[in-house]
Amino acid sequence: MKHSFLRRLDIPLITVALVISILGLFFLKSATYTHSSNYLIKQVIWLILGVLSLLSILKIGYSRLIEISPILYVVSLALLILILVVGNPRLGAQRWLQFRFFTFQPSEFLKIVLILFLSRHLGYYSPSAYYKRNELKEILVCGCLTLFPMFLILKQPDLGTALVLGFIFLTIIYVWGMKTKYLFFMVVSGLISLPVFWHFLKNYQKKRLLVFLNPNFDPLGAGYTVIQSKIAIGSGGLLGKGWLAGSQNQLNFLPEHHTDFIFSVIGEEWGFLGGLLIILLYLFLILRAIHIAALTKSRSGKLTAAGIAGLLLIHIVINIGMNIGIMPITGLPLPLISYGGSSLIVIMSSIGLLLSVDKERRIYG
Amino acid sequence: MRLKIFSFITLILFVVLILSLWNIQINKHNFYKQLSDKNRIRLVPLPAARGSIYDRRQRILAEDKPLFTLSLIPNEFSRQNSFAIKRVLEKLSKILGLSVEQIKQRINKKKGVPFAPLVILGNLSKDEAIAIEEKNLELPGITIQIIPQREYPYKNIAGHIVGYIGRINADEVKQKRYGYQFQNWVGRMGIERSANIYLSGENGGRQIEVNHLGRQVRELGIKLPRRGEDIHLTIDIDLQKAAHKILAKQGLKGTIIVMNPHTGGILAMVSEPCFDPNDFVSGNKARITKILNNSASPLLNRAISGLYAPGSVFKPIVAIAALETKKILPVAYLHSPGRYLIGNRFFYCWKKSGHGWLNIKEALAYSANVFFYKAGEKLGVNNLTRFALLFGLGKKTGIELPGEKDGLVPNKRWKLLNKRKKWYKGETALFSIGQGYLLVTPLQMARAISVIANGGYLVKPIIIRKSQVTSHKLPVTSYQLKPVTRKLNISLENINAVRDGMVKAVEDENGTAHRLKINNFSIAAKTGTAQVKGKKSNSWIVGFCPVKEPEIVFVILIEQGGLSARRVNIARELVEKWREIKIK
Repeated sequence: MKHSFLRRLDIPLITVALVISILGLFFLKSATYTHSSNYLIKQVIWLILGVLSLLSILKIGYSRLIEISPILYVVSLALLILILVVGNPRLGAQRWLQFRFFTFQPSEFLKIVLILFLSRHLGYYSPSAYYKRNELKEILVCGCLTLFPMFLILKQPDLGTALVLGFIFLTIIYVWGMKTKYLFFMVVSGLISLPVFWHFLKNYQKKRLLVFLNPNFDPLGAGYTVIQSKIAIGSGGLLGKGWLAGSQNQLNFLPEHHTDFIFSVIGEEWGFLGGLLIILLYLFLILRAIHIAALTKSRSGKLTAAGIAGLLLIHIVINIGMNIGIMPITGLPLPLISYGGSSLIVIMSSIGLLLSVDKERRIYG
Repeated sequence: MRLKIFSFITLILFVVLILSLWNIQINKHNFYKQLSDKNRIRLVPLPAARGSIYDRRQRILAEDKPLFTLSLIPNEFSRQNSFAIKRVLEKLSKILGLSVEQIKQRINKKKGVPFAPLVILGNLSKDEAIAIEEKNLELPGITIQIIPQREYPYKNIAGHIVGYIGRINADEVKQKRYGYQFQNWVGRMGIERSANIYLSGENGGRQIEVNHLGRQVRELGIKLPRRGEDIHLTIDIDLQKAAHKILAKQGLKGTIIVMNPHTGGILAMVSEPCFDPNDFVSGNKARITKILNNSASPLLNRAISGLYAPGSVFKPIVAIAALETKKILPVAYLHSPGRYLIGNRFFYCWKKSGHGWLNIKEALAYSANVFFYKAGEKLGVNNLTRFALLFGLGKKTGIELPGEKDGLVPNKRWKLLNKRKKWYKGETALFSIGQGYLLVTPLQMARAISVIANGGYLVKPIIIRKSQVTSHKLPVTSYQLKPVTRKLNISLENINAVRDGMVKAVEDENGTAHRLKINNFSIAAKTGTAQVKGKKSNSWIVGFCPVKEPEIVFVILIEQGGLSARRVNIARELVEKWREIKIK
């Protein structure tokens, strides 16, 4: 029994995910060394919870989750609205729901729920079964389903997560098989509407974008982080300064270096080789997800796996990109490594979904 | 097909990431390495001194003293060549009078992270600190840190009142996001805790630029720390010391409270066994565990957190209740034999033969139980409850010390809710001699006796006299605390009757507190022996003096002290000490 359970499991995928999380604990230890050991303990607890949720998703099966995804979607939206009403304005942004012992970030969970819901909606038919008119209608419906939570999340304001939702939408409709000209049209119209979008941004977000274009725009304010992060990574060199020995990290030049800027700790202390190792591990994870999507016959399973690949891709590219200064600061965590419970549990759950898609493929072919 | 394109896009994006990483870390490594080496703006904390705590005559009960520590920054120290290191060590050994080997051992014993300063020597003398600071430039990697250290010069004498401080937990303070983490202290007990916001100042800091050896090149900004406010207590440390000695020399467990009956100002508040707050500050683990594991609970301030049945010291309140409700007139005589039948059970007097016919003054002086059983019978439980509450029993006094307990004044409803039984007549009898469910703190008792001493005012006990801001810019401002009193609706005549009874207890040869008699000095007192199930009785002595114009109220409670009449000499010693100190 146990043997067959293992045989139906994609061992390399789960191994790589666990290796990344455990390496992440080492970086977190270094990043919070001068502060307190509380972070590490909490992260370990969350990691355990993440693995538990992975296992329970594997047990339930992704198809059943897709069945109930409309309910999950409505609940998540309700929570988002609740946050806007009663949320705890921490750090100028309302992303958490404060409970007695922990804070909970519904927008993180919405990432998975959206993947499931879109896969359900588009999973019934292949695009060829639609005529032109219907195809557009489907896209419009899915677009609205994405835009509504995006709007709520932007209101929090959380630019990064809103971007993630948009990217998930694009990935899924692309893999579903939407005509490239529509896709092209959508991206272009999105770009054209950017100036309008600009008005909805908060001042600090505008500043971050300007800083991305020119880091010296505000060297002691928003630009400070980017400059310090680049100095940290650059001074790491090929082999790094050694674990717990990064001066940028340990002397606290780097703000947020246990959450969004943890990659700079990796770069400084473990050098290019350490950074390369992490990037390659992530690459394996994403390619594995796409591989699973390619092998799966079930349309909704395929879309789910692809959506998760998109989720991982956007997080990793934007996070590492902003750490090395080629992307604007948008506040997205590095999957499985950044400190934070909601994110860790969500990424572990999505790995669970991938494993579940793969398992059903292995059983039913 | 589309998935292949998706993989392809992923690959391209990752190649871009890897190339950018290569560009920063390998191509431009030297550029960033230089920036990192030059990145030398540091925040040096300037911790604020905590305010001091004084007694009523300006004697220091708690203060911050500077502690000089010698620290080594491993990164900067080991950057030098072995010859330079040897020279630094030699210079240090000259100043400190330690051999080079000893210093080396200390350094090797403490291996850590390159950037965290290691404390090599915990407490330097001021001269050593200055000598090292002067040779600053010749001693790279070595720094002197000045840390304020809390000191309690009177050690265990006022430990419960002053309390102690402890390091703040990470959870207790919002994490400082940038810069240097301060070691913050917070009051954990006593005044240190209740007046923490006044005592703790505001930390400052210096922003400095350092050279490649970590030495300061220039100062970029400074924020001076603000010292905390001073707190002046109503305590007289001499009296406190005397009270402490009286209990400690006999190894007694219990508490002594001396209070001004008009203002509520606490002159002395001793709780034995006690502890030395210095142990908590120095972090002496062996001693702290000894304190924590002691079954006599030395951390408990028995004066405000200990709950006891008041026994006979509750009788003055019953007497006032009986007089006020006119159930017993001042001129009335009641027969007080050795036992009294209530329901189907006999209730006894402490004196088997009884006291015969007594008026209320004599009943108080001889502490005749049967007289008060009868009084309680006439009053009923509701009246007893009403007057106990009126005198401030069964609720917190509101003194500025943490951990105060409520106590319990029972009534019929309480009994029904908690014991699921109706109130029995026998319980009223027990209530009227201060036994049964009734529980009070010694401080509540001091407050109740003050009402008799000051002629009908319920005072709020206070321990903080004033707080004071000392600052360079502002003139000295101080906040005097005004006494809080409330006039109770009790006639002076009845209070005087009870007062006479308490005087008689001292003056009359057969009075229970006759051993307290001091020639040419009048004292009013009441003793109490409160029975405790399965243990020896607790002894109480309460009273005030001088009777005409009372200056102090005292409450003495000895846990398992046995018959209280035998403990009266403790009160006598206390009053004599108080008179001595007053003259001084």
